[in-house]
Amino acid sequence: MVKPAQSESTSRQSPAASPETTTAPSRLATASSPPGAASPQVATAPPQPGPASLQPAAASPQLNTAAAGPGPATQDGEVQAKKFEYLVSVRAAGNLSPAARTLSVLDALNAMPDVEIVGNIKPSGAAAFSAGPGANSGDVIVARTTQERGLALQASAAVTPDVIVEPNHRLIHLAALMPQLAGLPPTGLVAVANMTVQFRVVGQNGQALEKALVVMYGSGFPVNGQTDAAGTVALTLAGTIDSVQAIYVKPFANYWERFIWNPALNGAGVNTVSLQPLASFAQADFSRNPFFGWGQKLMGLDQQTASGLTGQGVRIGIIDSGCDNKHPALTHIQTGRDYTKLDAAGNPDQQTWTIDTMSHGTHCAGVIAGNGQKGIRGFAPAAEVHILKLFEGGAFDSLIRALKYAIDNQIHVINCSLGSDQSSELVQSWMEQARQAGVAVVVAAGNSSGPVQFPASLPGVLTVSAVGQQGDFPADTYHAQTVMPNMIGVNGIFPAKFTCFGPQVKVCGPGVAIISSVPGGGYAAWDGTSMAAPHLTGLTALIAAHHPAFANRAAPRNAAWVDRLFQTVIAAAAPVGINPNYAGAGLPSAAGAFQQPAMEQPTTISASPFGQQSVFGQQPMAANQSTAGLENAIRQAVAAALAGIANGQATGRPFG
Amino acid sequence: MSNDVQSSSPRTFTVASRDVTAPVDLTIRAVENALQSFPDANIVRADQDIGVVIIQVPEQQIAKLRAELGDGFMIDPNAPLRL
Repeated sequence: MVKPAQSESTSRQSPAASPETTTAPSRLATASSPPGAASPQVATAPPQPGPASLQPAAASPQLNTAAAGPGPATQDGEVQAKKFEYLVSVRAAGNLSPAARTLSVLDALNAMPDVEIVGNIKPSGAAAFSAGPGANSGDVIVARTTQERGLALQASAAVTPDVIVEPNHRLIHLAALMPQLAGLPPTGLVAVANMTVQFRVVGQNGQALEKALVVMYGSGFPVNGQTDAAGTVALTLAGTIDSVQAIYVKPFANYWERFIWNPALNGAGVNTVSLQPLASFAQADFSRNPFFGWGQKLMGLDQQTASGLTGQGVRIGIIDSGCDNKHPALTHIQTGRDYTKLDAAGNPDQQTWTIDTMSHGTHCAGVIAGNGQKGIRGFAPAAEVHILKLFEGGAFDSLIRALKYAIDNQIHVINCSLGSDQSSELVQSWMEQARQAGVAVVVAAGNSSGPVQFPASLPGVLTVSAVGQQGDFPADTYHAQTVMPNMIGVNGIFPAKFTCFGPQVKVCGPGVAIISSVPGGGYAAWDGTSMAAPHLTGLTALIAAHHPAFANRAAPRNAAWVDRLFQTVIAAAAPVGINPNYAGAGLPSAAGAFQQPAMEQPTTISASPFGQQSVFGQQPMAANQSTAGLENAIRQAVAAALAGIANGQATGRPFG
Repeated sequence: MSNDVQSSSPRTFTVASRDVTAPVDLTIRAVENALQSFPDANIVRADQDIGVVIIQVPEQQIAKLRAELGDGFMIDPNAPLRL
């Protein structure tokens, strides 16, 4: 699971502190635009609804909101976002002077009732004598407005060559967490007064929500706590209440999370955060039974192609934090080991795997094998699931024990939604032993926004990155903050901001706002490559169980079997218009896997592997790639794999 | 009682033979012999099932231990996993 990234210490400089700054009155009086002046085309239209509200450009964690907004509440109340600051300026264009264009911009901004101009930075006198970009810029106007208006201004500026609108980002204090060789205390860590902020988290009809995680991001390290039975929690912050940059509230179950940038907090009263039920967001279709998550639907699990595919005959291992098999959707899971609880001889407990204090394993199990009778329909509800509990406290030695169990019990597919920032030759050796034994290991790429982590970085495993899809989560959640606005692919699919990336990524999987089971019988929407990998584990299990290339159960299980299995998964992927380092071959689907020549359905392979009504069908699959080309590529890849199988050939090396 | 924080507290490592067919007892004996010259190191446990010995040793001594054990053994950090 992914939590919002830790906020770094920041330094904020008020406009008045800058020698170039003159603080303006709230509404500047300006002259009318000179005759003939081109309109700067600053947006005056109301904010656009829809995806634009998801753009994080106007909601950066470092956005300067100094002294902005309505100010702290004076009594108990709902937490609202304060206003944001933007920098507005002009570039050189045509024959107009920067000063003339600046006046036009000011005119336009002053005409907007929800825009407050709080500063005006005059250009340096030296700039008049220099050349090159920026040499003839006009004033820099500091405007304070709503997030929606700011987004509209940015959108307008994006299509207007001579206007610049940017968020007034806070600066990161690079020295804050570094050694102070001069003997001075780190600036960001000097002793400051602590203050306690009271929160109350409520759901539908004001119902108190217990066990909700509340995280407060200030100028230092984030602080967090869990709500009590009354839905309340008190968090102590080092600094002033104005230094709080964001609040994140993650409910235990059945509600959407909330993420509030720049919250207007009341230091003297209780700050209420209201959450919305999962069922209230219609696009999630959560009320449906059986429930299919957006990712499962995107991968075609609810379509005709996948109906009747249950994973019967396949064994799946889930190496994780255990699994609550009292959950109505998971009661059929009856086998497991707890490697956090070994006896004197080193044998794992065979009962306590059902206790999942972290909810993580139960969440993964729902996607992989939810029974679909009372709640979530997983990919492989009839598979024999083996829960291998390593958390809390899992380390490489316990991972090796779990791998050995998988080898000894001839598990077909293992889900590893785990990773480490260190590597191990020994683990690599065991991963290879598993592959040689015909155990296919699916591994989450990692959530550190950097290179693929270990053991996902190993050859021979199926490394899965995480993608999201715009429109599948409410805009006021942290899910919306995972969008990378410059990397949106087809139909709103985007690489999750947190996902690890690199050439090791084989395919991507749905990993943002994934609704699945949690202990106690409820559901929760989580983010992570941990959520993406189970989608691929489930599909891989379906292929192992039902694809004709793997129908011969008497065939030897070995490395070649694993490689062919993964090759079939990769061949079932459709490009999603995202850099392969982030998405690999794309997103596999049931249709892509099973609507193949080998299925004796050669007449009408869909133009898109996702079917005629594919969400990808409305746009090109990728630049310079027709859907017919994709279809041919998939046909060729699968045909090659099948030919190899028919000839008894084995690659004898990792697929990657 | 106060705790004197050291700059290099012992960490746990896995030790295993590169020869997967080698009995784990041989690994244990090799590790025991090698650790005799490492007073700050100790064996945490030996896992017969997976042929791995878990040891605790100050990190700055690990290179010396590698040299002591030779190329026939893998020494890796027994690093924590995260979800």
